Amino acid sequence: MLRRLAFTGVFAACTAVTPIAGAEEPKHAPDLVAVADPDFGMESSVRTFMSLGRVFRRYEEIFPEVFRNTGLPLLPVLERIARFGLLDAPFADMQMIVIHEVAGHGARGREIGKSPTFSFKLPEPYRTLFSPDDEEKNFTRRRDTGTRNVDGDLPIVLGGVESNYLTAHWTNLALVASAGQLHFMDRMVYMLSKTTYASSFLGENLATASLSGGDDIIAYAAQLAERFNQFTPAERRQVATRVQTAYVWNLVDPTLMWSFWTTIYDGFGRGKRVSTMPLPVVRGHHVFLSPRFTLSPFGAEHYVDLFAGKAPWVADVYFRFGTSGLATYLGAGTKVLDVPVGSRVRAGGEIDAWTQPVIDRSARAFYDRPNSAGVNVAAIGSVAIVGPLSITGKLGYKSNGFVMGLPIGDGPHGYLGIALRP
Amino acid sequence: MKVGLVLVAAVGGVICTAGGCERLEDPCVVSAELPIAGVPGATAGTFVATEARTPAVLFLSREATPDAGLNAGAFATIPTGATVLVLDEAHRGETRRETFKAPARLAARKGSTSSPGIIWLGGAALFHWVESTTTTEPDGRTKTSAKLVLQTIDSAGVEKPAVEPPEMKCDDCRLDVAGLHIRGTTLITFAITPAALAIGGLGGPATQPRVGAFAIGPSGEILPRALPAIIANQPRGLPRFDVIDGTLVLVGPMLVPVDGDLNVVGPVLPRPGVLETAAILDGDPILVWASATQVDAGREALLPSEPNVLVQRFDRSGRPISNAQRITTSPAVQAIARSGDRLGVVHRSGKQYFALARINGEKIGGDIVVSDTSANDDVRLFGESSSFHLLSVSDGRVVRREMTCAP
Repeated sequence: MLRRLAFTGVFAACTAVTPIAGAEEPKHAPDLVAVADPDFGMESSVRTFMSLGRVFRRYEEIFPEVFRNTGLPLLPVLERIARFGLLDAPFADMQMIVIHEVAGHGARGREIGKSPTFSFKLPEPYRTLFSPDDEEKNFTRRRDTGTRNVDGDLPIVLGGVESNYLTAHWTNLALVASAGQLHFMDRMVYMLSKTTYASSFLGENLATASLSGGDDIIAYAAQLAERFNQFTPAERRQVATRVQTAYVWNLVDPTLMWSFWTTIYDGFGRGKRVSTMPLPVVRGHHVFLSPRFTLSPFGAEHYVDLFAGKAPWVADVYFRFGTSGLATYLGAGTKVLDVPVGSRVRAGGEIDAWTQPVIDRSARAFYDRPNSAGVNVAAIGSVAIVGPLSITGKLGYKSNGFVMGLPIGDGPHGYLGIALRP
Repeated sequence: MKVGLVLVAAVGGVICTAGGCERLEDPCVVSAELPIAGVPGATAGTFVATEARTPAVLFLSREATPDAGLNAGAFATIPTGATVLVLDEAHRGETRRETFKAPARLAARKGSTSSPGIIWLGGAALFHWVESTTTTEPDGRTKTSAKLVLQTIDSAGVEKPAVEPPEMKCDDCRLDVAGLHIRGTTLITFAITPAALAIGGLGGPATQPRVGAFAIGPSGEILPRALPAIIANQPRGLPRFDVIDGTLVLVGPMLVPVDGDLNVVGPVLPRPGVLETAAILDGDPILVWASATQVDAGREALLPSEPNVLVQRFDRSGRPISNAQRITTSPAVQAIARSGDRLGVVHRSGKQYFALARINGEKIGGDIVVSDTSANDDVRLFGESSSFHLLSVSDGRVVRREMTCAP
């Protein structure tokens, strides 16, 4: 409890002394939040680390561009590329990795009572410069002994990329809430989040590695095959092939493509830190149809999101389905954020419903399971306290089942903290 | 945190409370253990391989004695006697017990005794052991000579003369023996393994055992028997006898049904891998075994995790009629039984588990904990009316557990 209070206090102090106003930021940027729940779960941690990233990227005020207004045609571009390589990319990489390890693997581990430890390496290019012989990766280590169970291990293994895909989803929510505006660094983190482990997803080793060896994706494919009794080499290869094929859905993403293009054209070429995606407008509301992707305990999971918003609020309606061929898993839901209610309150909520195989961490070698329907209901809101400072939180209740970013078990869930309106 | 009333219901195989559905329903309920017989003070016990419908359990009495043949402080345990419990047809109690003292010659041994065992003859017991004697040759080299000793004693304590089969002697070797008594005949298998040669202070190459078998006639005469070639030509340690569903079987690199003269009388079945194999031989044979390796693109590789427990069906000629299906993972398979169109398998991975499957090997539900202890007990599984019961022997007791399964 003391750690949580200290963390929230430090964050509040940082945001108080580094006002966002004056920097190039989206006009309707979402609130900065520092929220936590007793387990530092995935959604609260992802949102908090995303906000921390927005705070720390204020370094660009300390290092203004030198050649921007010199009128020279090439030097400003070269300077932006150098700044990208030495500042922007390493920082975005660190943010993505911290989310992956702490808010991803760590959150899923803490959810089942584990106490993970973390190891981080220098981001490139500093790793090549200062520790060229270090071949270790960033990793999360769980400190538990005894028999491990696939139902307990699978969510931890996939939790890393799940948190990255959740980051991308919350970025799309901010994109629509901000009328299509997105900061250069948010686009960087988005691209890194969406393409993490791409080489593993698309590589040749996916179907050949062991239950405990290899990286997250190789271990995931092996454990997924184990969970569904695909024990022969041919069956394991088929499971891995389906994961690889499904991954293409993750890359056919308009925000990803737009981010890549604007990083080069707006970011390097024109020196613009904030770009605007041309979102369709229907009756004065921005709308956006977008795919979403994640790994789940049953295989790859695909979403279609329909976003709609008019600053400051945003809404999302989605449906999801699985393509692993190992089970039937479907769902749908909706989320609404930041609807003004009076002058001091913003309210929202979410509802999700699904059918999927039961997740039971006490089960052993239970391959063919019945499906169970589930539901999640939550209220999300904030109340202004003084000036830009608000109390914000979420409180909900869900039944047992996998929902991206939420605890798997049944029961109440939510988080509480502070928000700062930029 | 659960709010409100807790309502437990099994809905479509899932246990639900007011808070949600997160526990899967086990397909069977395992009862607590019920002791049905025992021998106070006995430790290890095993089921006797017998063609009778009523199981018999043999318990040994042992005492630890310093072994003069080993390093100081080492102890050998020599059986001082045995008790055989014969259970009733319902497997709920014993009908009689027979107690035997060890022959005086064995009891007098204080060491240099290996491969002790007992074969129950029904009313009498045949004790077998290997006596080792170490001598120093005139050239200073030590030589260890081993010989097999057989002696029958009845429940009244009357000893028959000890028999030392002339062929069961060897020097600088290891002599292993096992046997059983079936249909009036006592059958013995043996393996003689020469000691590895020491070459220049290093160990020599591993040596293959010479395996064989013989029978003991009514008057104690030794009657040679020829092992089936498939066992004799591929020795994998000591072949042993077992009785599965009333069929006498030689267990070696294959499972070979034989008669009293060791003629092959049924389908020869594979005994895959080096881990335990259990079988059903009543009707079309069904095998279950734990395999720590897997073949991929022609290459065999060790599995990185627990061995796969595989089930496969064969026809009466021993040809497979189904692919091997995995029903769980475990390093040790203990028993298999059939109940209608279902199979029950008991295996041990730390804890002891029961797995239920359809006759085609399709798993039903998950593994169910039978026992939390890690003791390596001997078990027999029996199937009846879509349910099963398990008899386990350990710590001087025979206990019974019911596995009541949903239809």
